[in-house]
Amino acid sequence: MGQFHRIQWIHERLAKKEYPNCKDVSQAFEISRRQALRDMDYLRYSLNAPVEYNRGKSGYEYTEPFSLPTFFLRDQERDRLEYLAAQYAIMPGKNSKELSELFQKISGERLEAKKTLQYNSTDFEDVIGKAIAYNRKLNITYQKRYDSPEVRIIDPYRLFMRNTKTYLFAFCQKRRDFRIFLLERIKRLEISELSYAFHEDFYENYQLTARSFTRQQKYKARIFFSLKPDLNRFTEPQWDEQKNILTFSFVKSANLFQKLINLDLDHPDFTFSILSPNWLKEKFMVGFQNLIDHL
Amino acid sequence: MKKGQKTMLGMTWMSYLGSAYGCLKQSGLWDGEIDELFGLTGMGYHFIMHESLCPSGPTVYNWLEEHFDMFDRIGVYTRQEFVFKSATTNTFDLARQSAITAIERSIEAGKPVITWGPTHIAEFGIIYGFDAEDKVFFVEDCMPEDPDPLLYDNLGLSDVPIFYVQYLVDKTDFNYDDSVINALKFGINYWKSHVALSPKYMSGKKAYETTVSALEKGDFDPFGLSYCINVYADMKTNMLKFFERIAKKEKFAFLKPVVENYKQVVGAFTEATKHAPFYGPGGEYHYTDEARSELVRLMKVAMENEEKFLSVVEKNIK
Repeated sequence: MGQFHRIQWIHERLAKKEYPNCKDVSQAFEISRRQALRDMDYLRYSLNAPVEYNRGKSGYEYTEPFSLPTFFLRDQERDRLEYLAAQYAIMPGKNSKELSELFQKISGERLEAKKTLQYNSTDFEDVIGKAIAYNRKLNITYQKRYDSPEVRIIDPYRLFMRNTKTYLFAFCQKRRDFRIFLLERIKRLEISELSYAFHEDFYENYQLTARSFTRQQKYKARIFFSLKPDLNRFTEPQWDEQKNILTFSFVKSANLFQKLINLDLDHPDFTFSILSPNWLKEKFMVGFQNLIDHL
Repeated sequence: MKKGQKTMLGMTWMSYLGSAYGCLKQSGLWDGEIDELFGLTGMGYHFIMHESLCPSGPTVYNWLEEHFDMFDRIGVYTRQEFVFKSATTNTFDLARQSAITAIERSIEAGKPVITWGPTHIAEFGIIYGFDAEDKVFFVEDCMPEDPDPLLYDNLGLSDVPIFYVQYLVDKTDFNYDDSVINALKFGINYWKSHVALSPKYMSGKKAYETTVSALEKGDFDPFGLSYCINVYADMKTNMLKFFERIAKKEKFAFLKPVVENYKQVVGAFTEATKHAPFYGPGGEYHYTDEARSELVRLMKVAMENEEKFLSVVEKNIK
């Protein structure tokens, strides 16, 4: 009988409140008591089972309902679950946090316990996966299609497949915008010591570029700000110091609206004025009017 | 400077028909009701399902041929541009760029245009205005929110890489009854044709059989099923209204006894929407065994009654 069968046997008795102890296990399976104790430890620490010793009953018990996992993971599967846990950990929202914890639980991993990032793979997909999981910037040399290779610093966000090729969706520090990199054109790659924060425009840009692949253009806006805003919150920002005008790109006016009305929360004197495009001015006028009407 | 009048789609799940209705009304080329547009154009006879019941079914047909004929039946002459971007298409961008001026001229003439995918929704919609300074078209899709405009540069670049525009040119007189018959014949052909544009897409009676088979196997796209059921329920409801309307005419009095059969079709589809509710693209779609078997029963009821209805129609319009 292997450990798996012993664990099942112990679990069944614990669930029936029969208070098994190490003596029972060692007799039933003809193993040492030390081995039986190790099984109890495996149940408690590796499977996170709520097992406690009950002195009054001279045996172990579950302090709360518990089910054994119905599967055992290979290392590669565990890595994937860790990756998912890390991905959800950096996404906003309560559901994402709960999913991250769930994946951590299934994989038996504790993300916060990992202090250092170690990798020794030469497979770029593996390395990028690790960098994404730990929010690390990447230094890459990228072979452009019709040009010489370029060195870039990027914030890696997502790996995805399209027509049998693997692509990386990332924020490029040089362009200050989101870009797609074909993995086979990355000639050199290393994980930086620097970590990155999730850009708030990630999702709308990911939807626009990664999903459709039709190279859709983004809207461009020019806005006068009374105070210099945090340029990191925008994509392709160009700040005119003399005129206090920011030129930038955006995908959805509704998200931009939310961003702009939240910019001035800490600065009562903060004002802004949309210079172009005309349609955005009109749309914001309507948006503000609706806000005022609801106050 | 913004030019053009806001134009909404007609109230229907069928985005092409809704767009056509909106453009026709705005341009003053049509003053009928939406059920008449379904019936006269022949659009209401569509019933196309992919073997996996994916949501593309209602839009997979020969757009160029059918859209021209649909408008022709109501006496409206239209021009169309269609380019599917494949890996080897060279002139996709040229087609898009050359259409910009034509769309502007149509809008200046008070005629919005029908287009494919003016927003991120993979459906037909309307281009009703433009601002040449901002280089944007003002658009409408089938969602309730006011969409952002479409950049000139993004014309034809939806997630489904098809550039499609239909311009409404002018109208001429047409014989209403002849168009009804013409559309009915089209409907009977569709019922019997079995295969739509591609071998995996079935039409008419075969589409019912495909739906039943996929439901019985349990191997289907749950979102697609819900979407298609709701689209066709709406379409068939409009068609019932149309049949009741024309059955009052002496020439189409033969419909009176079998309109009851078509009511059964609509009843079955309406009931089916309760078992296959639509929650939008982000919704979750699950079907219990009971829901699937009930949907199978309802599809069989609808098929049987539609067949009876069309067999009577066929005998009377020869």
